[in-house]
Amino acid sequence: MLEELQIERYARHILLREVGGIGQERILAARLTLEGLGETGVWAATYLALAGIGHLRLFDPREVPASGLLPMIPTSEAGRRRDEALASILPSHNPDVAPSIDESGIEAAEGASFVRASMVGRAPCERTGDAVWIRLDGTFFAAAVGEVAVVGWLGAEAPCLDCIAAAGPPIPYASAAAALAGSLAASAILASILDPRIVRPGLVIHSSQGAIPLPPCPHAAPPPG
Amino acid sequence: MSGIARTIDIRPHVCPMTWVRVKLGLEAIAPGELLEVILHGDEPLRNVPRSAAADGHEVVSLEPAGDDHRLVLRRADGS
Repeated sequence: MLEELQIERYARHILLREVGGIGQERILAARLTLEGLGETGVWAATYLALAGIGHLRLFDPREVPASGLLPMIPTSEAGRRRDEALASILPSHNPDVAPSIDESGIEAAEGASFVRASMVGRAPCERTGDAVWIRLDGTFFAAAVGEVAVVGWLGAEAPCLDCIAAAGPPIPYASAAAALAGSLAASAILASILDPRIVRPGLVIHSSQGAIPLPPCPHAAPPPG
Repeated sequence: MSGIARTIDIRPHVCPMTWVRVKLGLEAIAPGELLEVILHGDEPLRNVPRSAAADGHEVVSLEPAGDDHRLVLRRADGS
């Protein structure tokens, strides 16, 4: 049951046919983990917090860079752990959000051990370094690659990071691509909370040309037999 | 009218909170049940029945009640 202040706070969400009061209650009750707080991750966390996700677990022990991280972490937080900095900031934008630090990070799905390896260690390519993994009932992946965003639910097969890196032009990721990837990730997560039936595994490349599926990975091991 | 499952008074509210309150009231009853809404002024009189109908609910009646109006809505199936 929404409280009076929450009815005021989420009035614009309640008006949406796809959300309503019942949907907003589902969003407030949701628990999810975000790992990878580059710009993409911070954009995603920002939208999710403002939407009212009640329980956000964050993990990224890297330091906030001197430039801060758009759109939420200011330069005054430089040098602090990214997850701690973001966890301290988000409640001031939405008091319903209770972020915590999840030292274990996201548990890698079976066959997807790259999830933690590429986050904690080094991504195979600088252009895939700005990625976020969001764990709800499944794992959602979003990355800014050059000037494009690569987003989608992960299936049982681990996506090939070389193929993800090849989705965009061979340039460092652009902030606009990170904002796009983060907002698409938040939208997809919120939609799946409202209707879990819409979850379909598969990565999609979003650019100014539209949205196209990530081509099949030629690097996958051939099926046995 | 008998069979009213719930009554809400939206007279203290202004747009868009008028429709927000009615929407929450409709969510609180079962499909097919009736919601009685007490409203006041031109804006909710114009917008609330229209928004309800646009969302698929039935406007059962709308009648003056002193300085106010009394609206009865039937919640749609599956809304």
